[in-house]
Amino acid sequence: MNLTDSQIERYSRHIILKEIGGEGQKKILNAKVVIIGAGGLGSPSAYYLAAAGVGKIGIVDSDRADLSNLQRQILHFTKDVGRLKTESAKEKLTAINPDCKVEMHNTRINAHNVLDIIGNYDAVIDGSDNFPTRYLINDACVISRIPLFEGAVISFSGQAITIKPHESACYRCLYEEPPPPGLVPSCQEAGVMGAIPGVIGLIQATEVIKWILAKGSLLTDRLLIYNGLEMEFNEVKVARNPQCPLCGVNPSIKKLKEENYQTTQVCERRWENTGEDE
Amino acid sequence: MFLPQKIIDEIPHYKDNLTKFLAGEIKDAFFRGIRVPWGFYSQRGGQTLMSRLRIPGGILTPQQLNCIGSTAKRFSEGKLHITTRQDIQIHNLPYENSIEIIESLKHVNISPRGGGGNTVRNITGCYLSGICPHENSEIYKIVWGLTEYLLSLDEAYTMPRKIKIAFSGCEYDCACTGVNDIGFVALKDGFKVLCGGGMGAKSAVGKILHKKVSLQEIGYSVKSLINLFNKYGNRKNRRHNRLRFLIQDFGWDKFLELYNQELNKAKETEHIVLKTKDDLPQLPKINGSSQQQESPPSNGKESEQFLKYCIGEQKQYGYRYIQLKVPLGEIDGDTLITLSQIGDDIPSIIFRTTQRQNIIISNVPVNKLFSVYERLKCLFDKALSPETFLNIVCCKGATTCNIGICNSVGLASQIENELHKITLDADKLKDLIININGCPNACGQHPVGMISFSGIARKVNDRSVPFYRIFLGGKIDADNTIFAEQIGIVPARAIPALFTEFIVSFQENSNGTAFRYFSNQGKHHMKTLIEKYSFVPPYEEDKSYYIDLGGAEDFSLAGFTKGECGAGAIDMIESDLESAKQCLSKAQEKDFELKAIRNALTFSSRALLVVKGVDPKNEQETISAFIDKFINTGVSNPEFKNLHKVYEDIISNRIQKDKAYDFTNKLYQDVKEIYSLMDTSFNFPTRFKEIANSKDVLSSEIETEVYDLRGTPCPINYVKVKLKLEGLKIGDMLEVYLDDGEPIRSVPKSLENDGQEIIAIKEADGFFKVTVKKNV
Repeated sequence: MNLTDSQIERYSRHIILKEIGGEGQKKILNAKVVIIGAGGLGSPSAYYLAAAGVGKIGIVDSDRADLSNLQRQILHFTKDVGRLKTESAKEKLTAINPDCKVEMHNTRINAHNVLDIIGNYDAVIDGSDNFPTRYLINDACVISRIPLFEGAVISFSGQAITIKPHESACYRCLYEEPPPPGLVPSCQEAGVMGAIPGVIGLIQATEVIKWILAKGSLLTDRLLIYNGLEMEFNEVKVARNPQCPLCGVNPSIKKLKEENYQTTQVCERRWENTGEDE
Repeated sequence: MFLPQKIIDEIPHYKDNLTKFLAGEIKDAFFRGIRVPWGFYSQRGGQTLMSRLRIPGGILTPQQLNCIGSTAKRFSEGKLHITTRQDIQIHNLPYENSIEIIESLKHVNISPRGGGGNTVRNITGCYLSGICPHENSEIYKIVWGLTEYLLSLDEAYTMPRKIKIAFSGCEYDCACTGVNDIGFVALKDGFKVLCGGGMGAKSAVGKILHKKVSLQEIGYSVKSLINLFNKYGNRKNRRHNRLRFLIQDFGWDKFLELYNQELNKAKETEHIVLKTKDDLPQLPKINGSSQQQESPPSNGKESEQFLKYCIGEQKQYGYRYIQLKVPLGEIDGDTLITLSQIGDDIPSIIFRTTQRQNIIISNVPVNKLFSVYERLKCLFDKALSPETFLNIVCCKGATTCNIGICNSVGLASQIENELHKITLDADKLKDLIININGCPNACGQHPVGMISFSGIARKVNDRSVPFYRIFLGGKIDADNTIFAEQIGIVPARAIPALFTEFIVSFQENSNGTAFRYFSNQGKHHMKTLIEKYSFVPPYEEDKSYYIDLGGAEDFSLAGFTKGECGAGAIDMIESDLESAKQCLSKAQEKDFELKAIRNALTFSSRALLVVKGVDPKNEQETISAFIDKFINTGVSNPEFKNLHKVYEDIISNRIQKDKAYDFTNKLYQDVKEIYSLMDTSFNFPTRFKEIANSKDVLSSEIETEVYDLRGTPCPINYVKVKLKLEGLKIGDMLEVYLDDGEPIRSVPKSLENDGQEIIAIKEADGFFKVTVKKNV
């Protein structure tokens, strides 16, 4: 595959970089990344991955854009309220870069369809907003050995970690099970400052590009914690857990079962900010 | 233990070559160089494979055991063999299923990678590591850490020959460290390191390399020995290239000096940390009433014997291990699956394979012993009854092994049958181990056997007759290991009776242990017996002497072929040279057919590339690599410098057939000559010095390409030069035309910052000609 003149120009600022060059840009153009959730995290990462020339981007979301989303979910414009988020996303991303093929998965991810969906991609970005889905994506990625780029936000803080299945700590190595209902803030408390998911989403996108290029140090076995209010970045070292029910020596989770990942609450819960006291 | 990513990443390479091999696109000899380091050996007859799975330290979870059993059942006939290096072998495997073994087992972190070839073989450890009351250190953790480290090391796959490593948790040395290339014995506060031990040709006991090293130094020590072996090992003579031969050639003092140099260098330049974290499940604490033994099942005597001979105490309070005697290490997939299911009820259990080819079930709570016993009784007919406490360690011999001489498995079962006819004294014989080997190699560990046999063939009355050498008095004890003494040679047919007589006399005449008798007065007695039994009657009188035990036909060495243990570069070279030769003679027969000539040209060019670490993907790459590595370096004759043109001409049919043949034939002869000049470290002499020296001048004059970037603004001009350079080889030249102004000010500087070399900048008519040499 040779770069066309317009591609050389479009990606020239990438090609100039020693770590990317023509070979690296071709790797990006051949990469396939799926983003689960076209929301606060998915929007910024999708924009930059499309602009960078990622060849295929999958968007998984079953929701329609709501007026309350627009404060942070920058893929969707005011005119898009009421429209399927996948459609809205495809329109924006294709407009930025026609090199990027956008595949819409207009469905809610579950134990039955997740492996089939992510199996078509090289990497997964988690832009989901609830624990059952987060665990489902983690389990699916570890089982199918697809790298996972995790991110989560609440109020003024966010966290990110990169998971290379069977090589670095997975989400269950950190927390074996989702927290019991009621432990995390209810929906009224689950406010978020709009720019926070922007920061975390772009950290996820940066990690994905680095992983495609096989350059630099990934955010593996390290939990990055961002506090926007105090403007602090902190890191917590984590490690694989031999007793991990998913990727440990004697794993108990070998198959995905729908009953383990059901969202029982009407109101979606969000990831607690737990890293500080580890 | 986890499989390093390197192994996962290498699977497509194996798969690719398997597909090509099955499609007939590559030859067996070439494929062998790839499959053997993946632990796949061809079995006698050549139709099927044996897959040797490495089980570091012999430790297996129920899940892993289950997966091995079901994989073997699904992709072969389910026949398995536990080896004396604690590996598990899957036998009678169709070639096409070999990839399935890799794929299926990678999910439980088991792989055959490095099971054969010139690699670091399975690292063995004492079989009670982690549960043994005597141990100074839980060495299985180090075994895992070292395995993970070595499996991800490129240089551990291309050594002159294999390296065997063992760890013992204390001075009892259950892991036989003294007969490994590298052995570690855990002391109270550190590790004793032995080096240069081994069995087979010129058996030797390892010498003490370090009296004591710390845990952190183990990785450095092993890496330094690998570096040393890679640097000085004899690559051409497979029979003379284990670490012990290197020691013999250099002398111990010189070897030590070179080793210490490597060690210092490694400590300065490398950072080796073995991941020794504990991956085994924690055992729940047992207390109170649950430590009570269950009441034994109805058959009192039987269960009494079970307790006496099969059970051992663990250092963990309230837990026991159970020893299962697996006759000759032969087991099947169904048995493994059933065994693994014990784990469903007792999740704490861990299985272990032993160097005596048996299985141990560890971490059994005391109160579960008899329920496990009941389940085992249904599985193993004999394994738990004391009549078979006789432990026979045995290789596969001529049943499946390409280099087996005698049918060691047949001898083992006949000895067992014969012994069952007499009354055996369980107390006297409980420590007896019998080692049987089908050939003079030592897979069955006969050199350290208490009593052992190794097969040879002899001509008697003009016919081949199976014989065994008999050895007595071997003992495993780290650097004090004693090799067994050869007492004599007897026909295979006579051994069961001879052995029975020997045992009867031992039981009657000796009060001491088997070992003491076998290494003293037993030797004398054995000599008399050998004299008595060594007569071979003429064929006409008694044919049975001319038939191997376990066989039906007259003994012969049919099916005996060259071993493939060390398959590697030499095989690949010789296979290509042979193919080139065949293509040339085919071309001659078929009126200089160009297709055959083209193949001969490619095989000749490819043959030696393997030792340069080049793995060309197609013919074009092969030709270019040969020019680059052999012609431009002055190793091959410069008359072939137009090789690429000749190749192109052959493809496009623009060359006279006889000329193409002559050129190719000369090239083939030249490559053969270069190969004969190759030294033991795979280096070649420079035969045409002027070529080697003038290479730069030549290439700069001939190969400089011009790239006109006038009119292209910054930074797109720089981007385009970068892209162009990416497509060139290191050392290639490129002449770039750049505009005056910003382009000439900025582009050369940027290229230099990237590490490229600016050879010249010449001003032309309103623009600049910049010559760049690709350095990175």
